[in-house]
Amino acid sequence: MGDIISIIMGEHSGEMSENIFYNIRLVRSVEVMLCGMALATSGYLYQSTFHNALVSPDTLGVSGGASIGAIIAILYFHDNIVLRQIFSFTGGILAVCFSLLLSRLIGKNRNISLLLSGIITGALANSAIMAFKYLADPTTQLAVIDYWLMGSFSLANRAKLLTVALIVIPALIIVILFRHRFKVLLLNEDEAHTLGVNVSALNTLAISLATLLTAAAVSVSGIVSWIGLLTPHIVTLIFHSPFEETLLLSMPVGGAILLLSDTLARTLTMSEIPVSIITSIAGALVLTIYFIAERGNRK
Amino acid sequence: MIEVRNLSFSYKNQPVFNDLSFQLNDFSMAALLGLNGEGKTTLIKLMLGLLKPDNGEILINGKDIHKISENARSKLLSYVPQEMDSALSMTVSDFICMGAMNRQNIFSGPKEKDRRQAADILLNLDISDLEHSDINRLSSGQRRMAYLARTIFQNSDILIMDEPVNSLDYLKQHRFLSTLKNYIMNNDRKVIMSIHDPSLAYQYADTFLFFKDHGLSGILSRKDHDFEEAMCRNVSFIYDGKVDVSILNNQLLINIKTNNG
Repeated sequence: MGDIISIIMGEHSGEMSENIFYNIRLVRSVEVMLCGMALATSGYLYQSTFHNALVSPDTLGVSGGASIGAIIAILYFHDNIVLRQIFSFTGGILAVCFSLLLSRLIGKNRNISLLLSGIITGALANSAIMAFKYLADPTTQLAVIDYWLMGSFSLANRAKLLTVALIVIPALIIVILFRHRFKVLLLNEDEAHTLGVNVSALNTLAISLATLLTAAAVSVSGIVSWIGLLTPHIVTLIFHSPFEETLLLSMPVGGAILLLSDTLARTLTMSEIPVSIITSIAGALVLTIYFIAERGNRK
Repeated sequence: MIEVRNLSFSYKNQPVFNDLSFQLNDFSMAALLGLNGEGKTTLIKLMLGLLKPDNGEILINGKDIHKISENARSKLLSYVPQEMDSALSMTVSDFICMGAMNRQNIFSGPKEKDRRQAADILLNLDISDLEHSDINRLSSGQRRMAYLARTIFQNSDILIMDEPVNSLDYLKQHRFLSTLKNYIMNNDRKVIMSIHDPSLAYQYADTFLFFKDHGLSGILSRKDHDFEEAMCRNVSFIYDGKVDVSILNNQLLINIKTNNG
């Protein structure tokens, strides 16, 4: 701790600790926070668009698609780190496009057909992931795939941070600008139309931003579960905030939760454990508390 | 003024309207009467531009509502839907302020003056105490009032309501309709609403449209010659003649015919 302060103050405290602080810890922390912000914002946008509190960023199959992309890079492109990131990002986006096309075919109520097509896309992706894992070399590749599916920031570096920041920061700024308009997503579609708002365009914008945010985060970290579903609930539980404020607060809260989880994953045991182990336990706990508190409120 | 010209509409293979035409001039509160499934909600959604007709057009104040933007439409028409999303959670004040979205900058939310105007509307409707309540904690009667407040804030020429007094108790039905009537009379607005109870409609509305067998079976205005007699005849007709209808002391009375009567 003393070392960190003296580094920030510009005092010399040894090249080694300076190097660790700037090139490893700081880069990793910023990357983790950006991913946390991205996942939390994405989760709240999806939950609002689908009028469903249990929807998470991978409802439309982002994670499944991203996993397939990453696995293809791991298996067939000598696990090139840059390709892994590009493939998983593209895979995530493609999966969502597939869901959107599928929902057009299903028709009916837009939100229900989107949820259904998301579930179908997820199932297809899962089956592909299992097939790839079956084909993978169990002594080397299988472990890499499994670690990717559990999420980790241990490979954080400046290049990754830069690519994630280039997508996440502009997307978050657009979300902030449109926060008042996005409130209309909470209403049913017919009603929103009659208020003079172009609902279809807003819907598409919200889903596109949410997808970009998640795909960018997943492409650098692998699958980090629960943050997107959980953060909006924690925010409303603590702040009882209206829509716009929940959207804004989800960003720092999501960043903080993921940073805390990553720090625990890094320090809890002698070697680093996958971050999803921490976020999943926290997720289960917080959801239980949330629904018990909710029940208390209703009485 | 509303003009429906040669309107045809069907859901998949189920025709609802075939070549429907009518005009409404000079009305203040029009009631759509008819059994369930005769197309009242469909007509409402067609008028609001939420459904597209297979054929024909709907002109409101001379404008084809399917050819103008959502924003322009929202200045002509506002909507109180039949079903209200019970999961929706926001304060009544926020909810009402959404009525002004068609004139707000897309990057800004409700301003202080919007909040004050919303509070004034609530005061006029005598529900100031609800301003900061969450909309999902309101009773159905209070929720209808919140919708009415939002519609008033939207400030459109015509208010379109789908069964606005459905599931309200006797007193709340009358309170809602008299509040609504007061508002449109004082502000020169018009209402088109579907309603189940012809007696209730008779007390408040001045124009009546009867729907039967997927078509308009009658259109009446209080100014018509022999209005009362025609009203009884039309009400009886939409119920397949299974009721006796009479008007006594300005009240429309409906009695179901017994088999031996």
